Amino acid sequence: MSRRLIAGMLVVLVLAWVPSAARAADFWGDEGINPLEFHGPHFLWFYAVGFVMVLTASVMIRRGFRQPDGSVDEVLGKNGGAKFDPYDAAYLAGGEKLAAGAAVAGLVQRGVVEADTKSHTLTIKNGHKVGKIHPLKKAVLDAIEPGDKKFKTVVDGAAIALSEMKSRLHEAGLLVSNTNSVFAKMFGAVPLWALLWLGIWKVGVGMSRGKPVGLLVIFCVFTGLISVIFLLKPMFRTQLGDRVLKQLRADHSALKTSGAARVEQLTPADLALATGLFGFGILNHGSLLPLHSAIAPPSAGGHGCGSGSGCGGGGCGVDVGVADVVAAGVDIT
Amino acid sequence: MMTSVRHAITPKDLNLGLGIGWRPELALVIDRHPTLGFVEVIAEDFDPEGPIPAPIERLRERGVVIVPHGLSLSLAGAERPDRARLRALGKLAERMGAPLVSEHIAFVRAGGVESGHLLPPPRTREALNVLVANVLEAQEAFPVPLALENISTLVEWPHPEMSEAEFVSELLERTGAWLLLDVANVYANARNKVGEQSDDPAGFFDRLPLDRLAYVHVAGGVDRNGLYHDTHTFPTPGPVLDLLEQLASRTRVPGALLERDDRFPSDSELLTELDAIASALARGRKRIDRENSNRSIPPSFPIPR
Repeated sequence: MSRRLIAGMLVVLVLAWVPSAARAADFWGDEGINPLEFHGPHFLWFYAVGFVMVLTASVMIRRGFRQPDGSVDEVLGKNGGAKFDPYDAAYLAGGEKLAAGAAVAGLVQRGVVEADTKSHTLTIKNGHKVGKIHPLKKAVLDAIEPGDKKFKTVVDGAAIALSEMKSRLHEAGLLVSNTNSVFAKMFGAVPLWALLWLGIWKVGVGMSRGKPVGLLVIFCVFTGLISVIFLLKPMFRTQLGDRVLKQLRADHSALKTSGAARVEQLTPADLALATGLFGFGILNHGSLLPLHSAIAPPSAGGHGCGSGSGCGGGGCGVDVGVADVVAAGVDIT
Repeated sequence: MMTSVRHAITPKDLNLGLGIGWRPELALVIDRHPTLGFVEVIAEDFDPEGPIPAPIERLRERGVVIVPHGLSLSLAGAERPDRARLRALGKLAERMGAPLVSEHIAFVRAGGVESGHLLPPPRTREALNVLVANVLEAQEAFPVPLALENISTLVEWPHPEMSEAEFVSELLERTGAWLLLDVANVYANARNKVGEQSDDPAGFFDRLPLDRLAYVHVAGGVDRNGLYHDTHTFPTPGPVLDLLEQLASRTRVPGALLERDDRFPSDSELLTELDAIASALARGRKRIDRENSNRSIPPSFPIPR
């Protein structure tokens, strides 16, 4: 959303809010414009408009902590995604699980690793030797060895490589730092808390006067829930990270289309990239079903931040839109 | 007398180059092909009002020509073409920035029954008159020129009043439509001993109005029960490439498109097949250039505008 549009929305909201307060004041005449003295319906209107205002403010505060914004072309370079390997893209899209899953998918497609459908474990195939490989793939292979490892164990085993990847993406300005994430969560919730405090106070005033407060209590509970979500909702990508990911997905839209149509014929590198950019759902076909069940078992699916969505510990692309959830989620067709 | 619809830019002005029939399975190899000139999309696979798939939009952005190819207009049917289908194809052409659209010289339904196959019209004057009327009506609905494709068939209507070449030539003459020449269909008809193409498939080219050629199709099929079926599921066979070469030695081929609908090969196999098609075209061009130089006249192909 453009800054101009947000500013415009705020102006409209202020214009709506001030008359609501003024009307209430006029109605009460000599009781002034103290919101706590507003009549019930007028206070509810005042509260509702105020809620939209503070929600907008909270979103903008969070957005402010998702700097920097910047040039996608600079990050990706002139050659499109040349500076980005599939695992960088996967981490950016869904954190450490998706990055590790992309690496495993590439290794399975290469015939180095196989997945067992029944035990949902991963094993290195006998007799397969690998030469110089990406550090994450090496870490994943080391974590799988000697075999029969659950995907979660593999992700844990590759923690150092994943952490290095995270640092690299952070340095590139694509991931939000832990400090910014904490500040964003806290400061983002403050406007909602302020409104909630006002609402609770008014509930107290109303109860002391024997007025009905049920609707206002519902409003307050709703405000409280939203503030908790804002407090807990982690920040993952910066604005630049979002735009880079969007560009990568657009650049590789043909990979998504062909991957959905005949995933088994993708090269290992393409499968890793497709998994990274578009989620584990792309593996849910044919000979790759055992792999899909091993790294995205059905029991963990269906949740926005389950393993099926490739969410990384400490950051799971939560601060993104529905399109991201879908794209990093289960099915892409 | 020609009563055709005329367009400012004609397919003859285009230099389509090499193309592939766009299918989701081939989206990636098509996206990565650096010199692909055009793709054909099956019109019925797309909602003309819906979003254009991102991979096709990307191709458009990089200058690859998109040609919507219809399967269901049933232009050779006894009934008038369905207005909604015409509108849909025209809209798709507009939205995809297509310089032309294409359909078959065939019918696919009659009396409300869908055949599920492209069926040949009887080669009679009466059938031709109906076909001409339908094509003219279709052209009125399209914002771009229409190219018509010869089909392969296992059956022929009895008592034809004209040869296929005569039928196609008069159709194109009376409508001003362009020719989409399916070389693989010519080969299939020759293999199955259907019509005039059975004796001399390359000679069939000489009887066609090649100055109306928009582009060509090539594909590979399969022998089954003593018949050759143009299934688009195997590599283009050598004889089809030979025919393509012979065609290219007779006229400028504005574009050559490979159709593949199933049993999709690896990317490298597909690229090898495209190279073979390009080589056949180049061989044909060399032949015509050689003949022209022997006759001391300026060599073949004008640079398209």
